[in-house]
Amino acid sequence: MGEVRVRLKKSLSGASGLLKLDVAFNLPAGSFTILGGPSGAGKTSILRMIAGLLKPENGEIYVGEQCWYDSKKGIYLKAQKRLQGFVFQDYALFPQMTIAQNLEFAASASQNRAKLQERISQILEMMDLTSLLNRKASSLSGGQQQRVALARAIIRKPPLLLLDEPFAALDPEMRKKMQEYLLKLHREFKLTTLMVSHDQGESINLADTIMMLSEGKIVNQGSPEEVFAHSNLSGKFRFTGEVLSIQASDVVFVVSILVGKNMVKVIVDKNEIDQLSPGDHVMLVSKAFNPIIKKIS
Amino acid sequence: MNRLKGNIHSIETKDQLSLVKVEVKESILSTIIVNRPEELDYLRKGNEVYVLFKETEVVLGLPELTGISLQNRLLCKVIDLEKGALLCRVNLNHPSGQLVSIVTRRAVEELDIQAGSQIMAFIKTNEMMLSE
Repeated sequence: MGEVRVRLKKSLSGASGLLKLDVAFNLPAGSFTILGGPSGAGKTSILRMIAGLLKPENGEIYVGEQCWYDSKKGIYLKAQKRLQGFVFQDYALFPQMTIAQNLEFAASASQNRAKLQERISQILEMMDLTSLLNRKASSLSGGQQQRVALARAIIRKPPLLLLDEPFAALDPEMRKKMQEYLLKLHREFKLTTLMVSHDQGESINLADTIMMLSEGKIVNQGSPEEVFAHSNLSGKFRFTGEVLSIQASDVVFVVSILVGKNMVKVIVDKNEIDQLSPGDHVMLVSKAFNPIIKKIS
Repeated sequence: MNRLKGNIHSIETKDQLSLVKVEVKESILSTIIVNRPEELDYLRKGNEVYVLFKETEVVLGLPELTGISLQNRLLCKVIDLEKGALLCRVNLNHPSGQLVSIVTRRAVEELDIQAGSQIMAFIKTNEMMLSE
């Protein structure tokens, strides 16, 4: 599929006056990028321009060798020709159609029926949707509908998956499940994903790269740890890891964290324990004064 | 993690280390960090910062205690205590904010710390972190 290269300029009228959107970024093939920043910064507009739902004033969008938009060359592909997956906060399924019909409808442009069926069943299985196949979309819960919307978005093998706060309306537990499904799909189908999210935990769990947007410009860009933690904490002993377990011990909690191949344990006060659960990606920080060095050879 | 808001009062730098004093309500806290002011943009006199330190690094002592190297002293009032079998979690109130100290239960009993007691919270200079 190849790298996605984006350069966009457009003046937008937002809630707080005129916004001059001016961004340039590349999304490497297979990467997961989260676009963050305050409301009204232009995040959704960027997604809409890439999708072909909003026309930029100038710039270019290339997906591998394929040109979707180039103002200098006068190229502007319509949304239908761009073949990307798009998932919004509202699910936009056809309520009276069954799940199977919703998915087949999305795939109707594709030619090879047998291959398509195989792909559909693979996606349904990965997303635990097989049992819901004959249910009407309108009878599903919010989380189920959003799972179908996600499945529908990737049925056509999009070279680029665009997600606009897809899980914002879901409760925290469901959101976490959806993140797991999304990561599974992203990895299995080697998708290139660009997602708008306000949620810092979500960004840390999902993204390789975070771009922070403010007033139409990218003001900060980097890995989650660079963007969220490295910038302002003075502690020098830093690692990222994944929470494996949390155990109450007397009046404190022992949190086991996998850092690289090693498991470490950290004592945590109850004030912070509510924000942690197994599977969370976290940063461990201590001062350069604390560790003891012991030679092993 | 305890977190108190203050303003940078002074910065003293030697080689890779800086001793940063932060004025919080009714106290000046000092922290030593491995940073020079040119490496950390918020390290400027007068800037608003947070000092961060872990609950388990807060030492408790009687208010009249003297002759001790600990530079950071916060005279607090005990809000309440949560006694475990081995440890005790002490909730403290200081004019600059609330903080928590986790010490052994034995220490709490020896010092006879109770809700409402006046107590001095001590934190080592090298246990304090800074954040914007």
